[in-house]
Amino acid sequence: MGETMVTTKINGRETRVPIDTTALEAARSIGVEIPTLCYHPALVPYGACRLCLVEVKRPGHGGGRIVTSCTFHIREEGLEIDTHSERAQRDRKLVVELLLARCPNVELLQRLGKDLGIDKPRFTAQKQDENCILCGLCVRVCEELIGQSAISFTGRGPGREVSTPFLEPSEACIGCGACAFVCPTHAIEVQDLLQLRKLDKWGTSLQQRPCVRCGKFFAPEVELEKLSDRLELVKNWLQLCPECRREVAATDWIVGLRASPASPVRRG
Amino acid sequence: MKRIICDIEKCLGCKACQIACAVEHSVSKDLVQAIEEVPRPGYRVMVEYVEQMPIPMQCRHCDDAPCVRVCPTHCLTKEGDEGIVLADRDKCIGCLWCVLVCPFGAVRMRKSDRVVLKCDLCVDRQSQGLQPACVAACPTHALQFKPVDDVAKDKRLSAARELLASTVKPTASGG
Ligand code: SF4
Ligand code: FES
Repeated sequence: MGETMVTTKINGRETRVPIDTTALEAARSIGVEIPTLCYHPALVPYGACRLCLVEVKRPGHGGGRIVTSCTFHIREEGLEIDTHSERAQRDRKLVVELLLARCPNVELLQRLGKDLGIDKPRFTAQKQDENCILCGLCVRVCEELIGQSAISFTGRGPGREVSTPFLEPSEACIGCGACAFVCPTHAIEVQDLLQLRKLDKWGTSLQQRPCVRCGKFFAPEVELEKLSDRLELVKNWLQLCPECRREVAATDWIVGLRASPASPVRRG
Repeated sequence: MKRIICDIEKCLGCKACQIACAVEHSVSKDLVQAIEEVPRPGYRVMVEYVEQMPIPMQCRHCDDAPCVRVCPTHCLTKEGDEGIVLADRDKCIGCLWCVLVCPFGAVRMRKSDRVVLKCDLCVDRQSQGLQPACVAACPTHALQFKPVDDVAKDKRLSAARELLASTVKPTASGG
């Protein structure tokens, strides 16, 4: 059974996409770039940063509507989407100015501002060192994909922030570092200090497992336990670091070859 | 189903496979330019040494692949008749669980941007009718790209030959 397709015009170019595709995905599928901050292809769209604004028109229905393209699903025929219309660009500029007022020193925002022609933001920053834009990628990755929900949004309005429950080191954090990987502003730092994996932003400090072969600390104990439960692995599988596992696999290969009667590699 | 097979006896340890792999997975696909690229193009085949014997190691594209099972975003998939384990970089969230669980240590992380590197059996080259880059680069043909059925057949044949050689005594004339 084929998918139902709908025709949409993106920046004047007609394209057919499966029904329910988001405007962002549709645009990207034909090579039209829309800036985003809180979008990640592996996560449910969230619409937090408002950077991906586009103007959607239904022909014959007057002026367009400004929507966040990451959460706007195309469900009808003949919509006309303008990703960089004057209105969309004006609003996008405002969004970046506001973000810059929160995080004036985040390089990514400065670059976006420059691209949008912002010389001097209209709003003054309260703090100089804030680098979290509250996009929620870290919160969502931890909950939706890692399944730990170690962090969440707390507070409202200007007091809103991402943190662990009661600002205490989270017991749920396994130190995988996915939050740091997806954070667009590098607001989260993962450090490996020998036997400890640390994520200072969340107060995380976890004991790492040493490889039984080379002694290198390679991942937090709790994370490895989660993985072996998840995979129902034999206990000693995750006792070796990945590099040693590779060397052991290579050794096994040679040993196996030497043992086989047909082997050309029998050298004692 | 075709896989990269290694005849270890023929491996010189020249690492031509590693270089060809990195170049193939670079942006420019040109050796001279690839060296300058940022991030540095990474290789997905690693030449290991066991008692001075070089052995090229890469992803085995396991049947019940642990990396695919553990990947929370399903960015690692094993699909199609060829059963190639592929990574969709856009969906990666950098948890590195694939690196942690691979039994062969065949998945690596590039330090500079925490991007996961693993063998994709050069699907791009294959679609152009070419062999994987490492196989094409191997000067001694230690690396070969063959249907797995042929590999089993080769093994049976050489086992039979070996058996014959050890049981049939040479005749007086020297056979
Ligand atoms: S810490 Fe980073 S990922 Fe988390 S909400 Fe803030 S900006 Fe987004
Ligand atoms: S990417 Fe659409 S609102 Fe952030």
